[in-house]
Amino acid sequence: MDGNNRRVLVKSQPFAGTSQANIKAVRPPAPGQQAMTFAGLLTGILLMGIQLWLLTIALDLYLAGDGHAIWTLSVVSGLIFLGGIVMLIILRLQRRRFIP
Amino acid sequence: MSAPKNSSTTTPNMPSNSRTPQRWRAQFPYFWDSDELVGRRELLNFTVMTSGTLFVGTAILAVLGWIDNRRRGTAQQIATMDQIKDNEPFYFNYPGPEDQAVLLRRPNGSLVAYSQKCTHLACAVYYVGNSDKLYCPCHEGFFDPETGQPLAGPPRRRLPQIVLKQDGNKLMALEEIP
Repeated sequence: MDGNNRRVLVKSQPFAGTSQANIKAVRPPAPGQQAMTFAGLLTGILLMGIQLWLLTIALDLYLAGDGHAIWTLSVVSGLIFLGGIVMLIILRLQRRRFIP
Repeated sequence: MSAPKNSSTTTPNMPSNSRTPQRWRAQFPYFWDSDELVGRRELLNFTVMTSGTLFVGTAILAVLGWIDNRRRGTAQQIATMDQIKDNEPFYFNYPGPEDQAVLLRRPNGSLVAYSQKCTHLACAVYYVGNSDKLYCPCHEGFFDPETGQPLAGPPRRRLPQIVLKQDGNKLMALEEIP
């Protein structure tokens, strides 16, 4: 089944997920926005990978008894998390601006 | 677009509307089309929540590292000086009776002691005089007897060091530093 048929089935079949959230989920990004969306997602996943790496270093330092050096790692991880929160807020503000 | 008329072209993912339901469908009554799809915004929310969880984990480790004193042990006699031979390891238990440790006299006359618990997977390390290294036989890990730092193999952290103090002919262990 190709992508178009699948989308039609999602909307037309009574057994399929016809909730509003599902219909929104299959809606593609606006023209020209697809690359930005994927770039944003990739950046987020990359930053999350860095956070996971920081966590492993923190665990290693803790086990090695160098607990005082973990603060800097925690601050960097917190900044990445704050960046994600700010991004969510910006997106919510944009949605309110474009969707009355 | 209407649904295909020819039943032979329908996909196996769609539930059969015929009166004889397919057997595999009865055993596996899930329709992937009806699964909840994840939108971009939901994915972003999930990503930020995961990021928050990772941050909380790192912060907890930072707090634990700040407040948790991982030095352990109390001062106790472990040997007398005449028991310590040159180029021979002296094995003892510290800080608890189950914790094995090794004491070495270095060529410059200094004494060093380490926990025998390998920092990889806690196998017992022992001293190999021929190569002058502490060796973990489980995964071929090597440690420097001078500093306790890992030299080769899977271990990445140094061996916990035991602080020593000589009191006349007595040799005392004061504490274990991770």
